Amino acid sequence: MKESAGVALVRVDNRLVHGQVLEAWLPALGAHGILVADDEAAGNVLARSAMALAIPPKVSFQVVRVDAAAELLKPGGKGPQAARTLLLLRDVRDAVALHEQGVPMPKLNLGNIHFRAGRKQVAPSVFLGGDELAALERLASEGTEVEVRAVPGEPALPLAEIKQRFRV
Amino acid sequence: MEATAAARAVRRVSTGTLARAFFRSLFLQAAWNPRGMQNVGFADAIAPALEELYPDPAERAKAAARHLEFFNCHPYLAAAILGGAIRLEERVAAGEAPPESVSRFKTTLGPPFAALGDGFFWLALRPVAALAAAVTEPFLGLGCVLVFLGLYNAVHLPVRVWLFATGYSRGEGVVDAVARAHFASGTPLLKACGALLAGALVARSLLEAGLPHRPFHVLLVASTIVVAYAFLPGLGVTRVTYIAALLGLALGARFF
Amino acid sequence: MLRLFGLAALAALAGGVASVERKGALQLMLSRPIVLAPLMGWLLGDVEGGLMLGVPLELLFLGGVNLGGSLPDNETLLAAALTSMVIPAGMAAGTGVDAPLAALGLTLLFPLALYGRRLERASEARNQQLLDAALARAAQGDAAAARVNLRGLLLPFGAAAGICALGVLVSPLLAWVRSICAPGTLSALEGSWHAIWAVGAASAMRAIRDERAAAIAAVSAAAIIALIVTARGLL
Repeated sequence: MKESAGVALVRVDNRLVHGQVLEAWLPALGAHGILVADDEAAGNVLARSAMALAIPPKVSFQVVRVDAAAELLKPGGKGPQAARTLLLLRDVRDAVALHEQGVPMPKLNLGNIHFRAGRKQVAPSVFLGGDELAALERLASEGTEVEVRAVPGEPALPLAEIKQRFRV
Repeated sequence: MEATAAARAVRRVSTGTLARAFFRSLFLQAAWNPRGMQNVGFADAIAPALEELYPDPAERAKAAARHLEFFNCHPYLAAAILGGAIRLEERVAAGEAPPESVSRFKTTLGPPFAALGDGFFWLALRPVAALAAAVTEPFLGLGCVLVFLGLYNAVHLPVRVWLFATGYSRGEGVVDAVARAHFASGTPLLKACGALLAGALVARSLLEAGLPHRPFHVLLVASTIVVAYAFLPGLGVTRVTYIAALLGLALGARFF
Repeated sequence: MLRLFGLAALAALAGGVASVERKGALQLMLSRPIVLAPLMGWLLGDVEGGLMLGVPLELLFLGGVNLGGSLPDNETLLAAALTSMVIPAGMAAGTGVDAPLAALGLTLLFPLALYGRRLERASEARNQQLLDAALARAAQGDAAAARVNLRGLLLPFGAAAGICALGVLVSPLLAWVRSICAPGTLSALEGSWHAIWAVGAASAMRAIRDERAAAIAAVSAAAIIALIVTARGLL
């Protein structure tokens, strides 16, 4: 599957913009843009201005609703501002939504998914629910390579391993 | 009724209580855990303020329990969020704001403030202060320890107190205050200084191996530095150190 | 013998406090190798020896950073244990902390940095029990439920204290090894120490995460060397 034009990586991270993203992933990917696709952040002025505060001057930064992101990233869409952009999503369901709306997703990185009742720990900072795991397996069966990895320096945990840890 | 009117006026937390909350925030990560990250430390730090704001034990316990929700930030920048959360709790206690506003404030500011702190303190100020100490060590001896602690904490401590105070006095306005303080604008300059100092260290290790009159040793150490630089990201510091130590052992037996 | 136990107690206390200061409390950087090693050196009777260990260790771990849930190697545990073992060994061997002894100690203990990271993970997992305790107390209406916070400091303190005490107690062995080293072995170990320093210098350049860092560092190194060599009239 071809990657969406301009998207260097799709990452699910409950915390969206934070240190791991800016200090570890941007340099490792050689990316100079961040696109946050999140309905809540898009509608929250405080969230947008706080995130903008943390973004280095040379990095382009957009916050849009998930539907708007799908429009941008679909084949034939306008694409993100920067040629190499890191796409940040808050939850697994947002990744599913984008994929269902036709956004190519050759790879999906899970960075931080916090504990919530019904979620089980599969990595130090990733907790998943049964429904989320099923959704990830569906994505994988349609060609997405799913991994858990907080920072690029760590070894990536493939979906098979995630499933095994979930069952324990 | 008079009691109701009094309860609805915004009660301000005393300075002593603020000081206690700030002091407890120095232990924010004592019980860091994967499920809630800094939640226990944050709940502990804000407890003195809640005690003052909620005289009713049931109300107080409810407020305290709210703060055991997930929270994570950079440990220094978290002071701003703690200050702001206390300010918001004053309004919640007075019935002027819903309890969710505190949660939203914490989850909204936690990650971006973490990024600011990680970039400035962990990845610029700390390495640069340590490099300044390592470079001055041949001249200052033990004084270099004070160079490191002095440079670092002369920035760290005032900033941490300022963040807490500004968070408390400005509430959500702390974002604008931090933006106007150009918090991270010094980072590129600091990093440039750090690179200059790292160069001085390279010079130091070359000269120590090579003086006097051992140009061949300089060559050996210089190539070790270059090779180590190339392999550090891929192999990690442990493996590179062991490989270099073994290599040094072999070469040292032959040449030193 | 009694003196050795006294030193072990001192090292345990200092190492334990440092491992707590590193993340759980204060974070004034008192637990960084460049501060901790001379400090423990002073406690154990050789402050200069501590400094000699602390500077290269600081450089080796300069780029390590705790970003959210991602943990770096534990430089504090390594620095504390290394100082605990090497300083008394140097005094016992009568050599003080010299390059061969430092290289010997460092290669012996280096895996502690990785082990320390695993220890931190274990400590985090244990802290979830504290969280459960706090949640249970909060559910019963206890507004001071989060006071369990400070109990999270016990495990890192205890683990580091034990390791440091052990380091002091086995230091006579290291002293013995140092004293039987032949001159050839000593010069080999000295070469090793220079190589470790070289890795430290490389790691220092890596720690400055900036595209231009290596170039700036190279120019600065060349300029300084040229300056000093010229000043010494060696050209």
